[in-house]
Amino acid sequence: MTGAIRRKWNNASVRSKLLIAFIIPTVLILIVNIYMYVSINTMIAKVDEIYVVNVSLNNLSDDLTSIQNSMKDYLESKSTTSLNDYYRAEQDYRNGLASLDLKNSGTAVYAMQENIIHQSENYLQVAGETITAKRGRNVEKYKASFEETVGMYSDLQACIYALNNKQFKKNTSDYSILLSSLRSMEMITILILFFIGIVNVIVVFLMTKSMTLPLIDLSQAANEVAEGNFDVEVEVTEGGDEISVVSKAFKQMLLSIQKYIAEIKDSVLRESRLKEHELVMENRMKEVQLRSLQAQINPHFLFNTLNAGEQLAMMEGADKTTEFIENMADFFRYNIKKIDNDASIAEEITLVDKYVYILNVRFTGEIHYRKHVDEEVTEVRVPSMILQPIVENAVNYGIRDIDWEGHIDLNVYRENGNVMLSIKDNGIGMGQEQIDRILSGEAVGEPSADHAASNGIGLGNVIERLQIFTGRSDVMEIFSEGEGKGTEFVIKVPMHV
Amino acid sequence: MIVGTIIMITAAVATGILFRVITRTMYSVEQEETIGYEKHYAFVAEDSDSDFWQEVFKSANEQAREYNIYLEDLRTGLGGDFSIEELLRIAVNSKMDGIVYSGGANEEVSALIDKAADAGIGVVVLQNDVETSKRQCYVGLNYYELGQMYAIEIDRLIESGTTPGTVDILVDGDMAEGASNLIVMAIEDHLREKTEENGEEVLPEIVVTRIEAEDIFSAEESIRNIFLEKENLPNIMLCVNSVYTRCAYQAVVDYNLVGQIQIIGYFANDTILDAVDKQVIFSTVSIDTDEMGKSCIQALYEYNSMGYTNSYLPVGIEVVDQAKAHQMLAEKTNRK
Repeated sequence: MTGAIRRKWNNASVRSKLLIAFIIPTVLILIVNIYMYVSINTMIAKVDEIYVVNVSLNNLSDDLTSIQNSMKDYLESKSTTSLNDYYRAEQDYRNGLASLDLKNSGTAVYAMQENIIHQSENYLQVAGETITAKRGRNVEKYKASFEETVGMYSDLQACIYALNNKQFKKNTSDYSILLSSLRSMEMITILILFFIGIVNVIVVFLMTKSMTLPLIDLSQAANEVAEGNFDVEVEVTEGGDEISVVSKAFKQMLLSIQKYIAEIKDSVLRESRLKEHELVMENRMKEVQLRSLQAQINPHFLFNTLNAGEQLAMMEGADKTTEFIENMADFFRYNIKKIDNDASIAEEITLVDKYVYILNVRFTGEIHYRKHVDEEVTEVRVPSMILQPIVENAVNYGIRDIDWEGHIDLNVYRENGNVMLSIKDNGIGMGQEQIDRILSGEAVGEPSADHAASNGIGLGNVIERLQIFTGRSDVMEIFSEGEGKGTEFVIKVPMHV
Repeated sequence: MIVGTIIMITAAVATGILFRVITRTMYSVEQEETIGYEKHYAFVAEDSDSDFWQEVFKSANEQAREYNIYLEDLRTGLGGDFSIEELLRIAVNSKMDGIVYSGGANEEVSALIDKAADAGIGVVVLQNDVETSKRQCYVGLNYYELGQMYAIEIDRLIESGTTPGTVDILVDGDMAEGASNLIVMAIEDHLREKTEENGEEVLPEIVVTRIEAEDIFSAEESIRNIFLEKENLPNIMLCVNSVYTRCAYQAVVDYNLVGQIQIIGYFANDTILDAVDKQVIFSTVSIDTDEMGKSCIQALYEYNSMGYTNSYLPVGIEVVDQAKAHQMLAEKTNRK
């Protein structure tokens, strides 16, 4: 029962709750008011009743006087009117006497009433006899009887007066008591109303507090959210009123906001990482540029010198020398031009061709260079200067110091949507440990500064630039079956970057 | 919410009950209980306000209650100034079951008593008998016995050195002549015997002064008049009435005649006892008011239930001298 009411209360709307919270005390105050109003009215009615007995006794006295007067008048005039008046007065008097009820007014009063009744009986009897004697013209009799009634009349009046007086005294005291009671009651009524009012206010306060407390919590939570604290706990009250609905919605909203914030944070993090990558790339570029600049004096000087040499050779008709010097010049020009741009695979292959030619002139054709190129992928863009450093590495560390014929194979082919650039030598090969170190960037295979054929770019630099360019980590694979079995470097570049 | 509603309803009901209780307590206008009674007797006394008759009424009322009789003191009840005859007439016309009467004994009274007797109403007369009427019973003193007591006191006075001189006996104008004669006779008889015994003449002159109660203050004035006639001042004053005793006592004090006029009083209320203790009044005769009150009701009750009763019931009397008065006063003080 209580549980059902509580559930209904919880599910009621705020308007209904407020309505109930105000209707109940209002109705109660109304009932208390009506009750007190009725009580006070009953008391006032009692006040009105107080002097009713006195009024009756006064009427009785008046009727008695009428009897006596009309009888006297009849005796004097024998008029019918007087007789009628006499009978009427007698009837009124008897009725008044019969209606006199003082049974509950104490023994003394009751005894006095009894006296009056008995005296009245005697009096009316003698008065009747007087009238009868008058009718019978019995002068002596009615004179004597009248004399008797005079005494009885005055006695009766005295008794009625005494009773009236006694009752009046009592009633006056009752009246005073009632009057002072009424005044006190007025005060009590005010106090009671005041008390009930206070109780009601307290109860209504408690009732509305239970309603508004979740609202206050909610507003505090909202304030905290407004100040930027999203980790607030929102108490969701049971039930189905509007406040509960708002609380739930607010909680849901908070969760959503928290989720969005997390997502935004994530994306910002990613962006910043991307920027970081760009910066690293730029750094690497700068590094390459720096190295290039360091080397610039040589290439430019060399380039100009070589051009002069080439012209000299042409004038002299030395064709091989002319070709050699031209290749040299192209090699260095590519170096200067391409370092900070990307290039096509074809350009990269051309550079390797020239490099190998130069080396073969220098080392009298020791390097047997072969290439197999899928011509359809030669326009794919790759970072510049990626093939030459690998070929340089293969020459310097692979086939330089071998006693057998050195071969370098360049293969360009497609595999799984990627362009594979393979440089394979049959040199001294390398162990797995060394392969791992190269791929993890620890042993970057920096070119030796004193090496004549170096352009100054190491394997680490190549791998890093490839990773940044493709956005992938698996950009290079190195295969070697062991010492003396050669090494294969395979660059993996997506067809479309 | 439920708790709140319960609290409010409880508070409202509690205040309602409180309000009811408070109003009930405040509006405590006494509703006198009407005690049913079997008989209704009237107490009609000439001087019902005096201490003496108040005591008589009190004991009569106590006795009446025992018999489930309502005894109504007509004079007090009616208020106003009614003559004893009027009161008696009201009692008779009110068809009372019995009347206790104490007052004068004139023809009108006698006729009213007869009328009552004819109507079957029993009438008991106290103190002063209405011998000529058809009253059922007389409850009162034996005046000869009273006279003898006075005589003994006079004797004691004379023995203590008071000159016999004149003895003035103050009696009610209403008192039957026979009664006062009995008192005088008893005193004379006693003193004559005394003279015969001692061979010494101690017979004082005995004067009877009848105080006519023409109006309410006439008794006091009449007594004052005695004191004003200085050449005829009595030596001993006998008061056969409690009011006369007090008047005489006051006059003796006022006229500085203490010791010169010896008073022998009647009744023993606090004032009189105090005066006896101080010897302003030599001694007083105490009437057993309790016996008087009870006897009259018993007689009426007997008459109502049996149809007859004793025609005379005596009331005990005793002399209260200084020692006795002192003792009685002490007892009263202790009782308080």
